[in-house]
Amino acid sequence: MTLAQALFVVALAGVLVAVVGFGFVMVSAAARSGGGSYLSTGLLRRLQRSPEERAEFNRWAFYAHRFTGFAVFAFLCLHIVDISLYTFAPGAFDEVHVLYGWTSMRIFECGLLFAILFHTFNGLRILAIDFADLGSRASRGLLTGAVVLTVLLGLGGSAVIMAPVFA
Amino acid sequence: MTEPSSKKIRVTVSRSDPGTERTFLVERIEPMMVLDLLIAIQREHDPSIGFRYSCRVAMCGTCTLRMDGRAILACQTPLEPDRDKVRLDPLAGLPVVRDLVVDMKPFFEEWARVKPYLEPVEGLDEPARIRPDSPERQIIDPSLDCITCGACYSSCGIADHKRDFLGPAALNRAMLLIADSRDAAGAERLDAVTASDGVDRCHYIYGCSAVCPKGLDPAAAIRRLRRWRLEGRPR
Ligand code: FES
Repeated sequence: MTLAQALFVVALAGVLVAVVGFGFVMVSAAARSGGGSYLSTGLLRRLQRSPEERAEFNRWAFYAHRFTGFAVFAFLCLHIVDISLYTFAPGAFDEVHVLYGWTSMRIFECGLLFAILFHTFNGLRILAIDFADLGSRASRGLLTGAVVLTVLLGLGGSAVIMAPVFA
Repeated sequence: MTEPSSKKIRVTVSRSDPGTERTFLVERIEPMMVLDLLIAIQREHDPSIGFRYSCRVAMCGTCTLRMDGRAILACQTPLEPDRDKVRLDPLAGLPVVRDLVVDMKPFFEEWARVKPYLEPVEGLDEPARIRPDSPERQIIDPSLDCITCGACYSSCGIADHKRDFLGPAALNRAMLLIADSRDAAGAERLDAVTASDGVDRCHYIYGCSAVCPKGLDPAAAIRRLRRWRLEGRPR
């Protein structure tokens, strides 16, 4: 492994630690003072029973939106640096971009794809709530659409990303 | 008719003094409200438990707490017959005074910031009325009846993180006063609610509308205020 590659791996590990740390802080703050229903087996029963309880999906979408937003932003910071290598160190750029073909990196890219897709579709959902004046039920319908699109496009994109590994 | 039952329910209560008992096995009655549960604990298990209530008919907004995380009025929330355990906590995002009792000051500070009372336009013919079938009344009526219980504030996810946000109750109140043609402070209020700590802080978590014990929809009020900012308030 070259020095440029080692530095990239260390920086990527830093990004992952930051993302996990952000998720941990967010979840513990939500559990402490988020004001939402606690996750328990009883909650599953109540979700089936009452539309008011199902409004909680909007809350979880909010947390997922923040988490995916932070994850995409953190990686983007690193990605700007590794892309900009091309302007002043093309050799290092080539070395670093070999890493994007590693299986572990491809798995990371799949996760990133899911994060980008969810953040995009959920962001559009939030815009639609204002434009179309949508209440809780309709916004949950749109959330279902956002999740379905994320899963379908994410699986399709992941198949493309992982294809060279299985070729 | 209240029926005694041989069933027991396991109640876990958030206590502020670490030395006090937190879990109680309470005899069930049918039907049983959450407030009945607390009164039973106070009478039969631990008289020192701290909780608050007054009217017992969902009018005063004093008994708000969280059941399994969700803000409720203890006096009007029944325990489902098949439930065998429950967890009770104080409202989120407000300083705990003791056990289930919180200090509502942060909530009422936000409430006060929107001038939650009518400032009459000068020269109105008394009594100034808004016709029941008028569009204005259609906006105002569904948003009345707030009992300032703080359930929406606790469920907001933004307001209860102690960020600078007016919160759902204050915004709902501001919306109905802005809609009221007898009110002279509408423009000033619209400026206040569309400032950086106003409607834009809402991320449509819908916790407020989902938990409001009076069936109000503060999220709809917030969407309306955002529209009025662009289109001007209705007149
Ligand atoms: S005791 Fe008054 S609202 Fe519950």
